[in-house]
Amino acid sequence: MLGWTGRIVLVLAILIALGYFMHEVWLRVRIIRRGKHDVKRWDRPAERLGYMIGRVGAQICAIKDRPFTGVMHAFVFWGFIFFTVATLNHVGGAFKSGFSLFGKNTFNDLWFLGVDVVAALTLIAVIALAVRRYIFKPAGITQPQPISRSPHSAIVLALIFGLMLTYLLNQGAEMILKGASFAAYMPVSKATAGLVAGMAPATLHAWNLFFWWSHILMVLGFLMFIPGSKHLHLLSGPVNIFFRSREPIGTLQPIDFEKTEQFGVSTLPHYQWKNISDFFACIDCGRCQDVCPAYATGKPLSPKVVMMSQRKHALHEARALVSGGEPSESIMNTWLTPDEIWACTTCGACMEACPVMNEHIPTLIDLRRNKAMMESDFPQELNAAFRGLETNANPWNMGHDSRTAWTDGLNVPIMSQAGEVEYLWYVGCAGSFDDRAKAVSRAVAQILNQAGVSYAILGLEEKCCGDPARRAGNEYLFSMMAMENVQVLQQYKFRKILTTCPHGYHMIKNEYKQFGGQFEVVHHTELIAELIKSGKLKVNQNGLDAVTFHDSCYLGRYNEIYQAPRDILQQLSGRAPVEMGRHHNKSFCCGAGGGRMFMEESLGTRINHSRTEEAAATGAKMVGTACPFCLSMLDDGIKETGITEKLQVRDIAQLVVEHLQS
Amino acid sequence: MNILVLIKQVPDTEATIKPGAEQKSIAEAGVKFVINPYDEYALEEALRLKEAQGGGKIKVVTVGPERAKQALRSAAELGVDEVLLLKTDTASLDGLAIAQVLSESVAKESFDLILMGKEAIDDGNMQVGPMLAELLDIPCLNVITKLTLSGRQVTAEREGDSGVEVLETSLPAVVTCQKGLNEPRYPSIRGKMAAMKMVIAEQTVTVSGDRAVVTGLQVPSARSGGKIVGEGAAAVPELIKLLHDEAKVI
Ligand code: SF4
Ligand code: SF4
Repeated sequence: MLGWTGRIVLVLAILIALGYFMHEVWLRVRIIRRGKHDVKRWDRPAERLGYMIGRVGAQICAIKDRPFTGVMHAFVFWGFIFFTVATLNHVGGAFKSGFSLFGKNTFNDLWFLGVDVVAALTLIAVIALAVRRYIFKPAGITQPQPISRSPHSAIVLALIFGLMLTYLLNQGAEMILKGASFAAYMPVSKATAGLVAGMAPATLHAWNLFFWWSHILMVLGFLMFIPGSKHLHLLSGPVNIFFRSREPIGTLQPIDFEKTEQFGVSTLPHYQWKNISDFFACIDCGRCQDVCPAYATGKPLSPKVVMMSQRKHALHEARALVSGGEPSESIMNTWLTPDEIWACTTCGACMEACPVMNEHIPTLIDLRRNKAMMESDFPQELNAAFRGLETNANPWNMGHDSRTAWTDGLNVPIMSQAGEVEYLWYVGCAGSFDDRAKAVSRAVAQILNQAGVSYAILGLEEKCCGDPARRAGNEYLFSMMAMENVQVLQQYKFRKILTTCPHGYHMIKNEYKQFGGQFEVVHHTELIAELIKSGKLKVNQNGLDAVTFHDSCYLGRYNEIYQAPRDILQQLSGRAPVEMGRHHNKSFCCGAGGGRMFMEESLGTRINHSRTEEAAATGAKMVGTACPFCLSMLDDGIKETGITEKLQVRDIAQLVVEHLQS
Repeated sequence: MNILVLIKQVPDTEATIKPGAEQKSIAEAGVKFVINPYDEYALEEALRLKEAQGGGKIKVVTVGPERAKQALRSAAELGVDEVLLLKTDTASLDGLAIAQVLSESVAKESFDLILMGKEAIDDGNMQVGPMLAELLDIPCLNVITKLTLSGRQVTAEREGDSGVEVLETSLPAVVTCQKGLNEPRYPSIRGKMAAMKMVIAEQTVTVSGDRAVVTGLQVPSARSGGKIVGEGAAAVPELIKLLHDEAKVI
């Protein structure tokens, strides 16, 4: 219990700290509220809440990508949860001796057993985290310099350490001063009591008071420190997870061209509010940067830095933003550079890794949209791709009338003459125009014919799905193409759409909905796996040597198809494929997504070389793919790195054809 | 400054060209039409000049059938001030006839600079520019890869096999544009949206004169594949023999 002066000082300190905290948090909330509200974020609130509690409570967010750090983080997290009650009791104790929020009962005793144990674990965790950060210096958090050189982490680690230490010492001193009635449940505090046991009562009392005040002042200091640092994630992290996107990773939202004059974002008020909330939730942890293919190959893009730069822009413009004004400068050029936003392959690895479920891709594409549509400013090579899409409905600008040339000599039915079919096969641009992918199309046709599948292609009615336009920020062109494609598809009778390109798969399945097209879509690896399983297709088992498999981003991370291609490889080689270092949801992009297929890769080293080397390192002689872009990138990678003797690449369909039982 | 850009709508470079029913013009079914690529350099140069001077007017004119409106719309997307279709259904190969139609229409307004592609990629005649300049009695700079204006003074460069020619004249003038002059831009989406709603002005014209007529079109016979005689030094004697006996080039 404190005297009157002590109580007045305490109350004042609490008011100041709480007032400042609220002021700073409210400032950020107001900035977030300047964003747009076009996308639904409140649907299924119960499910969202459950997901949030599960993910945060069990600390899956922190542990899944960095198990050691994650577990240490979990100790600190649970420390915070237990300490809320301890801190309230601590403050209450200033007014009423022995104040206890839960009263005196076994639950309270057990809770404080928890506090005691967790305090010790937190101490250990804080030391471990400090050692990791300042002695081992992992690149994800210390790089790139100077962007990560903030002392925030040091201050926070020191504060948490101090909080735990003063708490335990305070409890230890109390035990001695007041008798050890609750000592049975507080083994750690009992041990610290041992440390101060020899002191004269008056000295001990003075020390106790010191421990008490330093603890509460550190609590209040911490409170004031939170909003301006990345430790805001204590609040914003769970909130961000609650409002997460429930669509597949990387799914983009349409623009209503009738309703807006601003296409994409160039400054904060153009953002969706959730994407502003994203960078206030960002912890600067660098998990996204660690997995980013652009960053790994020396491009000027780090998804972490993108988050930090946007946050800086927001805080720099805070005054204008909260008073309803317009920011004084655009986010591009001052805070972000064009090379940064054009380097992204939209691989989704960052979104998959982010503990607070930030949505990097929609933000980066919104920035591209502004560049492409408002300023007509984009990498020169895209000019040809856009024109190609406009005149010849494919990004290579090959003559539209040669779209079906790959079918020469094969019996491939055309939808307009086929009547009703089971599968409408959307071949895609690569499968129609790119030589390597054309060979895959021929393999798939052979498989479908041999297995007696009822199918047809659109022929000259087929046009690009629009993925390169949309990912390159030309939403206007994309929306025209999508509307037209949906109309063409809807005039035919079929059960499912078969695609041989994961990009077409994703677009038709997940993004054409926005244009009124609801279709069931199947990827060729899924269909082939099923045909083999049902015995309609007979392959030679053990016909293939050791093989590894490269997961395409749009098939894997975007649509979670991991097993079907592996099942097929298992059938062909008699064993599971040898996995590369990074596979399944951690797979490393080939470098072609996000329209990058149609841009020069002039900065840093080549992404496809990196992936090719990883495939070669498995020792397998063959790498299977299920995406025409991955196929070309890996094939180029193999040729350019000169390892054609060691490694070959084929689409799964080609491997199946090579091992068909006739 | 008043700039006139003359464009032509031509079949897309990637289109498969087949002769039509009478073997005198191409079959248009399934063929995509675009702005003649060399005319795009002219359009881009006009836009850059206007931007650099912070003012002026760009008018785009084409001679062609109804479908040529699409080419004018594509030009309008770039943000030019005015477009006009001189409508005719006669597909004339006669450069002078086209130059005459243009000169009559153009003479009514005064342009400082007339820009166009060095040639149209469909018939490749390279005539309209110089003939128009002659009819208007103004200078013509052909196949230009660099253009600089200072006041009424025009300096232009033409790249040849043996070097670069630097040409000078004064406005008004006709300049025909060559690849390398600039890199044509992609229109902004606002430009595209505005052009969609634009009404394309048209005037019916008569192209007369049949000094040159098409009598027939033929698809060139497919090239036969090459022959690989071997690899390295060992293959040289055989190669020489074939070049001498079969190809008869040495
Ligand atoms: S999507 Fe891939 S390339 Fe783009 S920022 Fe994220 S990790 Fe990097
Ligand atoms: S965006 Fe996510 S993964 Fe990247 S640094 Fe921020 S919190 Fe970490």
